[in-house]
Amino acid sequence: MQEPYDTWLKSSHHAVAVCNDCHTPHDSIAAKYLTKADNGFFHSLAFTTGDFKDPIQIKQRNSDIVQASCLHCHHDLVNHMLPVETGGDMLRCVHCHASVGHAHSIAPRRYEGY
Amino acid sequence: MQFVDFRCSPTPRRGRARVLLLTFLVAAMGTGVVAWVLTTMFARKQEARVPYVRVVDVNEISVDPVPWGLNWPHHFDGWKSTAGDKFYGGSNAMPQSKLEKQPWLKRLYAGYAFSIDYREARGHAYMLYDQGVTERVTKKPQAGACLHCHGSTTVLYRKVGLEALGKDSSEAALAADFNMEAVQKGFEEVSTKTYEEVLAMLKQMPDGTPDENEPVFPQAPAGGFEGEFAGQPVPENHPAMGEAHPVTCIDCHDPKTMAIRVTRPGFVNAIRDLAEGDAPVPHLPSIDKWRNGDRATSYDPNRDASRQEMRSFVCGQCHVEYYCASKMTLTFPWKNGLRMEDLERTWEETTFPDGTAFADYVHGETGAATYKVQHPEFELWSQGIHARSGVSCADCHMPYQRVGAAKLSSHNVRSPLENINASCQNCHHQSEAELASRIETIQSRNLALLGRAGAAMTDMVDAIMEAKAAGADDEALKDIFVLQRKAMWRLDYISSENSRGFHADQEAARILGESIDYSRQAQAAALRLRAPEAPATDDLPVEGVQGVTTPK
Repeated sequence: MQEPYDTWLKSSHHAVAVCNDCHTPHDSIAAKYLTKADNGFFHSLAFTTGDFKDPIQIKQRNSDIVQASCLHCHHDLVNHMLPVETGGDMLRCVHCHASVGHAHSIAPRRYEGY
Repeated sequence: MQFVDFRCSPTPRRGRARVLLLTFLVAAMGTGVVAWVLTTMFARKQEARVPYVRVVDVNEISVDPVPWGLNWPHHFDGWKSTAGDKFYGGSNAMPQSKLEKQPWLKRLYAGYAFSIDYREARGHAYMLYDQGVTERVTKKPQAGACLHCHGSTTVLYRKVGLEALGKDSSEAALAADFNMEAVQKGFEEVSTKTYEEVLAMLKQMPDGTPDENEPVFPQAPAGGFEGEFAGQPVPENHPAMGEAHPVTCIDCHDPKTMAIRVTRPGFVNAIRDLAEGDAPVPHLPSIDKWRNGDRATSYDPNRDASRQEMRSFVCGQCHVEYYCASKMTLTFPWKNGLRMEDLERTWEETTFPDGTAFADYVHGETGAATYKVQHPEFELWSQGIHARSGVSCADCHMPYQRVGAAKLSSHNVRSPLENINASCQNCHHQSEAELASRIETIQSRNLALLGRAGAAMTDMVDAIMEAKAAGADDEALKDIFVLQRKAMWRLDYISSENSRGFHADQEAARILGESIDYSRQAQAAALRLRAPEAPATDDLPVEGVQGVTTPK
């Protein structure tokens, strides 16, 4: 998680949100610790066995948590864009706002001239 | 009185022993797992801190990659993996013939060695072997300049260069310092020799492992599969004996610092010419910087280029268009820029030292002087969106990978399609299946257009031959020959380029479109040479404008 951490330091959210603000649920303390346990175990397993996608790919469950976290803070701003029914289909916020949390990309940045 | 039940007394004791044993086993296993996790964590942290341990010294004479492999085993493993799961030698293992797959290639290369033997490419591991056995080399005399790229030639060039300059060329001197000037001199000296001569010299060069003469990959049988020693051992005193290496560590890395560097004089000269010209190169900012500077010294990629540019330049030393036969030294035609037209213009402006106009071969069927395109991957990439976005060759073909906690660029140089996750998904956050299908779309469109351009070229050659049969002489065909050359150059440019159009898809389509146009222009002009005079069209009725309501 070095790259996500490094890029989070430079991101727009680093002053207002830490890892757990976006990556754990806000519903209840139980849900939060269940998520922590789940990810803690599978991250350790992946890193110990070395068997993981690199660049890493987010799981559906974690992706849902991130989306809910965006809305936890920004709900009032985007409520007119939300689906009519709860759980309806919608585009993820980070589909476009990909680097607000952390870029996590080692992709080269084009040098824009000297 | 105390009642003792002798029947029951062993049971609780045995039960306690079982519980005790079970507890012990669980605790032992638990401790084992924890210890294992702790040791892996420690090892991973250690790996992240100290990415490699230098156990042997390598220097400027260490052409043999084996000592490097002791220091950098993961990189060495990657390099060896370019062979596949093992090295496939022998005539049965040769890849498919392109000439059979696309028969129009035989018409394109008529009169040129590529019409004898031309196959699908294999990995870096095979570069020297496959060159040694291709019938282009075994059946036709070829120039030693071919080894500029297929062999690890820097020590050879340097040694010959130092001798020519009258300087110390001992092994100690060779090991101490790179000396680009000597490389340049040796390259010029060697370029007049034949392929066999240079290969024999290469095998005699010191490679840093004097007591060992077994290359990592098998060497090609002397003279190819049907040569003098086919299936037989080569005598000990034969000049073909000795160890030659395909491109190895030293060709791209500085042995002192491991920094990537360029070593090939062909590239160093060409990128200098490109910088000195005024062609726009928006994807190479260090050239702009040099152009805006005082230009006190020539552009030197090893000094001026950024690391990100170097990650493409090392590949651009060979994956380019060039002239490499014996009439002049190996040349990359970059002085007018890197676009297809720029390269063509450079060749049009070039004359050989003997004063004749530049040409690669005379077309075997029509007799037109034509140019052969090699494999302009660097040039086509330069026209594409990836180059423009700052993505280097290595970003996709040598993506970063994690081995334990160590992060390194994969030295198993190969198609990004083989590892879409590492190559593409850093930037493209779509599924692997979606990305593969995008690539497939680009490449299949390119293949379809290439087929059309091949058919147009075949029709053109037929039409020119018919015009010749009808009595048209070279003078009458002069302008048609130019059209033929332009059509063939464009067709070959995309056909020989190894990305199947991917490196710059729109540019590839544009080039093939022009090829089809020139082929059809030449075909029409050739047909006109033997067709009767066209009648006047002035008297033909022409339909007036329709669909306009006449006002009442």
